[in-house]
Amino acid sequence: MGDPNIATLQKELRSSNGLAAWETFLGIYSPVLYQTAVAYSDDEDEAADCYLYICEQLSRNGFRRLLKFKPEGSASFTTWLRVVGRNLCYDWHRSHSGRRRPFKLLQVLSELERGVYDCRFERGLSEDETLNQLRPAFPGLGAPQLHEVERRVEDSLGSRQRWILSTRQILFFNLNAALATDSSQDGAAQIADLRSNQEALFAAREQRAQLKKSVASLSEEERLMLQLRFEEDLSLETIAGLTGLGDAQRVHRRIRVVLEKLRTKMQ
Amino acid sequence: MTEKESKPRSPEDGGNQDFASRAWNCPKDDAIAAYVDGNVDATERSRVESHLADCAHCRGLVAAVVRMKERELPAVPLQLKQRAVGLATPRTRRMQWILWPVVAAGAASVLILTLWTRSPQQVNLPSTTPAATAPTVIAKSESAPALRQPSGQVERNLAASSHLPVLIFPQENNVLTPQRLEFKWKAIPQSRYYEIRVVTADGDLVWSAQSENLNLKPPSNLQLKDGPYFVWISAYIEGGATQKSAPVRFVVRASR
Repeated sequence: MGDPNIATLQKELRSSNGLAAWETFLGIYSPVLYQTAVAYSDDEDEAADCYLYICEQLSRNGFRRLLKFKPEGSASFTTWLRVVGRNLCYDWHRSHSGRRRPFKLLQVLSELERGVYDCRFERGLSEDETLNQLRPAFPGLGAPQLHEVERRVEDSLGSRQRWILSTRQILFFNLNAALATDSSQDGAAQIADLRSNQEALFAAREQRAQLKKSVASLSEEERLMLQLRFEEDLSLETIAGLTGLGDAQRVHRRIRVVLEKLRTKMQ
Repeated sequence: MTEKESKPRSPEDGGNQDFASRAWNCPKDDAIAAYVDGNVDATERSRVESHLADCAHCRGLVAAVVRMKERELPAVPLQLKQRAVGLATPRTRRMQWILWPVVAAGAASVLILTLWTRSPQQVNLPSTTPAATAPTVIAKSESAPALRQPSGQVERNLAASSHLPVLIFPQENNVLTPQRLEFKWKAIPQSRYYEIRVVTADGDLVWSAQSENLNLKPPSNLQLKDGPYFVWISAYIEGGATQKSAPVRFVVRASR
């Protein structure tokens, strides 16, 4: 969509003829705003609510938000509008659902169990790091006891909670798969259900902790490349466009180099 | 993950990086948009990418906008569009929201002054005012309804506003050094958490944060330039309601 003369539209929004300009604006950009809302929520009613919220916020205080766009700047109006709209979607979501809350089951866990949950399940720390973190509060805590507590916490998690926890580690699941298959093409990995095999589960968690540490040691540019590919699931072409690397082949080669570097760090 | 855009998980679910909050140091909307459009020079690209590597919110935002650009625009239901058209109200003065606390403070001063001049104690004082005006004052102060009505009105307003968050510190027009900057507010019953927002006099967001406590200190790396700012608190109440305090103006000055 080519942007019509935004400066003129802004001028009209500022004038006494603002309501007519608002109608013109919606005539042109409603599909962009609606797309932003639909991309945020699968539910049709929710998307409609979200779209109206975006429009309401854009029209508030004499279209103040819309008037903040700088036509002489380097961003196109449509892209800017998508960015603003997306941020408003977050606000809408937060105003409806509140912010992130911990699982209710945490209320019934003991202090040690909560500590293990925080270190191993939430923060993805390794076994050694977990022991180092918890020993000041729980002197004498050893690996066997940690395994036992971890198993108890694992058993008390429902399948939905387990799934939610796994989605927070999506980068590491996908990276694990990429490291195993030597591929930067397939970002998606199946999240295996390891509940039946506790030893495999501990090993997987340990490996993820190590991977997290290795990823953190990469340069910002290398980390971003992996995040865009394996966390955000963007295509090689899209990443090439964003990062200015030129073409998908170069991105592919770059990611392979970074994966190789990660493999070396993991050994 | 599939090719379809990732959805934000409900906060109750614990959310994910897509729901990560926007931070005070996130690039402005036009910087993110210019990056997505590819209209940035090497320095700006490096600045944005350096931020993206550590900010899940902005990374999710960039990915979402890129995906939207690649898709066809949907048709908007006509009724929905008509509702959106009706959302706008005639334009008010742009700076009105900034000025209204000043107007409110002025109105409060007038009210206090009025009550003071009409109070019985004031009337019982030996009058030095010209004789012509004295009877008017006495007549009004003796009239019980005339005195009680305004004070009743004030109490009703106080009761209604007791559900709104109120900033305890800073107070209106306080001048503070950055080191002294700490925000304190009164508790609101059944609040799940509070959100604080600090904006410049132009309305640009400089810092926002959430807390379950009743006070917050800005992070040490938040560098506020000398000048006026506005702060307000939003209380997120159980059941989904939100209550917002009146904005409070304060001034930051490095040396007092």
